[in-house]
Amino acid sequence: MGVMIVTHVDLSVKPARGWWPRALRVMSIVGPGIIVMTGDNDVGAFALYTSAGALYGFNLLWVMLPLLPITYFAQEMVVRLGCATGMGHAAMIFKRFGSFWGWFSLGDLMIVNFATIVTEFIGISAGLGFFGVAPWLSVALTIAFLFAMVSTGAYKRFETFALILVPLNFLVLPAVFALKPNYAAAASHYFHVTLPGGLNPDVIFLIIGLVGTTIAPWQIFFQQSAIADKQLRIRDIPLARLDLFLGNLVVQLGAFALIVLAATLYFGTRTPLTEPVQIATDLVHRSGYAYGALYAIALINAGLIGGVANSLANAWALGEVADVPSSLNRSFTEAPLFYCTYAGCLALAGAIVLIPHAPLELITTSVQALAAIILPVTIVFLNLLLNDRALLGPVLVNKPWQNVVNWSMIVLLFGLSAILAAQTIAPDLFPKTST
Amino acid sequence: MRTQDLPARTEAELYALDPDYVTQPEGKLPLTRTAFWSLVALRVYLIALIGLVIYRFAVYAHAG
Repeated sequence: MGVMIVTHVDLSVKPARGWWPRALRVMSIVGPGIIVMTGDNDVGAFALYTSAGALYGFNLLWVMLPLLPITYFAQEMVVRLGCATGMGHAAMIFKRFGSFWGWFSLGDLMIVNFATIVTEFIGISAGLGFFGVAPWLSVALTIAFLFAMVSTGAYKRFETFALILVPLNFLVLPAVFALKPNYAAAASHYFHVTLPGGLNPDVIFLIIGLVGTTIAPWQIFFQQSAIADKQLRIRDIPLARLDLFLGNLVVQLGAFALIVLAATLYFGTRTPLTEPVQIATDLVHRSGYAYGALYAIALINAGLIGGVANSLANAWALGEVADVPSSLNRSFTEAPLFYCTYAGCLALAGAIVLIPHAPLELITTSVQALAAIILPVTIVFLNLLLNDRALLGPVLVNKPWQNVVNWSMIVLLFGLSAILAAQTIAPDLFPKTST
Repeated sequence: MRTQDLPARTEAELYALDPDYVTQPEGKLPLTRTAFWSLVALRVYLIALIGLVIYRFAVYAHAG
């Protein structure tokens, strides 16, 4: 690989003046950040946020607040790396760390992503089941819809399609408003740390789950590949950061709404919450059919965005590593491996959901544990790449304060994964306390 | 001149120059011996954890 000489340095480009050109420019850049963060509120997140609300009321709302800067800083590194290199994350790891580390990273990603896609199908089937759709039909419809989303031959069309789905994330809000929760108490718990029942293992693992579901390895791979496919450039970094920040707000609002919803419905009652779609049924009895239906649509939508994002992350990564065309701007005949990987992930995941007596809830829980375990290692590689001065140059490389923030985050994530490991090895290690 | 060697000291100056993508450096990122073995240790730890999660999954699934 030889050193190339830069041939394009256009000094004539000036920033757009006037609000309309600026608005157009913002709209042209916004996309990958909002999509990746909305995909964060997927079926696994629905399960976890609602469990947190049902079991602990508003008491764990505070966990979401520190996750706002943590998620932003992790993904902001992806923005810089993607805009600067124009390459996906899997390709970057192979180029800068070699195939030994590259194959490990790819293997981790493919396994966790595939398992996550299974959970998305579980949620979609449950959501469509609310409307009386049979599981086999919901799997078939989901595969057809998700394949249609990416088969337009243009990244921009996929992005528009995905951005249309983003507002559906907020369909849980009418149900929240209808329940008339105590907003003041909820807002207070968002800013105040409380550990219900002390530092007991149940709370610790729910917190680990909340962290693991809010920052997941697929997000890093997806966003960088999406930025590369969209062909964002170095000068687009500020607006790509804005895009990411808006996406973070979407996650926070979605998580806040789900925790408050489940807390208001179940906390302090004798009704246990066993699965996310149960909320739709209970909302029908409590507030009316429309609210239950809106919640079910939001759950289906979460599964669709999560499914497309995870499948795309796999397809992009495998194509980048194989060094074959892997872009939504290519047709099926131009990028067969890319589209076959995408379709294969969907078909296999859908088939697993249809296996009779498959332990679907256990799969969902295990996927969250896997994601929480793999995340710190993924962020270590990301942080090493962001300290690669030869690659990024003096301006875009991590500043010392960014390294302090990022390494603190990595230590925190490792600490949480170590607790998870300890509990997995010895389930009785931590004494149980009643909550 | 490589993109990353452009005469820009701040991000604003860099954006004003509107450079193309950075030029890929030759070869791999040099890792110190400590960094390399830390990554190996992390990898072993990760594989062990993944194994544990799969084991737990199998135990719970078998128990129904």
